[in-house]
Amino acid sequence: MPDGPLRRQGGRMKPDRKRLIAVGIFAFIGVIILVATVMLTYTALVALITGIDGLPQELTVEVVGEEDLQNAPVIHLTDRDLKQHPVLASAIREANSNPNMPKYASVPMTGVECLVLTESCGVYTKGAPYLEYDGVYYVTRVLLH
Amino acid sequence: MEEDRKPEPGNQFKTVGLILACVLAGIVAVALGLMLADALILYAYESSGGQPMLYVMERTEPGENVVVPLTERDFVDHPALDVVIRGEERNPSAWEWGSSDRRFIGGANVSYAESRALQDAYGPDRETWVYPHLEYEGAYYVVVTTWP
Repeated sequence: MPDGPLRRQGGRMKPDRKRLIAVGIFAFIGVIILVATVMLTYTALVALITGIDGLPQELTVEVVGEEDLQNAPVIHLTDRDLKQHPVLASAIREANSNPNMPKYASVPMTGVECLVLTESCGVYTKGAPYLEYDGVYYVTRVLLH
Repeated sequence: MEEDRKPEPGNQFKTVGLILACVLAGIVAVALGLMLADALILYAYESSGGQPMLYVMERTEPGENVVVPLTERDFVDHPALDVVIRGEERNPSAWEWGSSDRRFIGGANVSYAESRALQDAYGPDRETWVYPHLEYEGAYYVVVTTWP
C-alpha cells in the first residue's frame, strides 16, 4: 500500500510533525533575532557608557617667548614625557605646525588624561607651570565645554 | 472522534519539554549575544588603530581605601604594570602639581584587551567606584586606564 493515503487517513502524526517543524523554524528565527538584539543593545550601551567621560575637555597649548616666563616655574619635558602623554605630544606638534601667530592648538582629551596631566605637569592648576620642550616654551590651559 | 480529542498524557510532557527547550534556547541566545557583542567591540577597537594608555599614580597614604598587596604574580600577569612601576617606564613627577598627596609615576601603551583586564583587576569597585590602592614595597599605587 502507498503510505500517502495512510498518512492522510491517520491524519495525526503528519500535522503534528508539520507543526513541530514550523515551531522549530520559528524558534530558530527567534533565537537568531534574540542573539542579534542582545548583541546590538549591548554594543550600543557599551558605546554609550564608554563615550561618557564627564564634560568634554580640551587641552590648549600656546607657544610663548622666553621673555614671558619671568620667574614662573618651568617643567622641562623629555621624549619619554611626550610618549607617556600622547595628548600633550599631539597638542605640541599641532601648535608648532600652526602657521598663525601666536602658535597654539587645542586637542580633546579624556578625564583620565586631564587628571594625569594635572598630576604630572600641573595643567589644570592655579598658576600652571610653563612647559619646555626642545627649546620652545608653552603655556597650557584646560577648556571645559 | 471523542476519543481522538482527549489529551494524551504524553502531550503534556511534550509541551513542558518544548517550553523548557525554548527557555534554555533563550538563555543560550542571550549568553551567545553578549559574548559575540563583546568580541565584536574588542575587535572593532583593536582594529581602530588607537591604543589606550595605562597610567599609575602614587598616593602618600591609602586612607580608608582597600589596600591590595601587589605580588610577583600581578607583574607576570600584567607586564605593562611591571614596566611602569619598576621598569623603564617609571617616570615619577614631582608631588607639587595637582593634588599634593598624589603624583604621576608613569604610563604605557596597552592593547584594549589588556586595558580591560587591568580595569577588571585593579579598577574601581562597581558599587562604590572607589579605586583599590595597590601596595608594593611600602608605596601605594592607583591604576587608571583611558579605556573603557
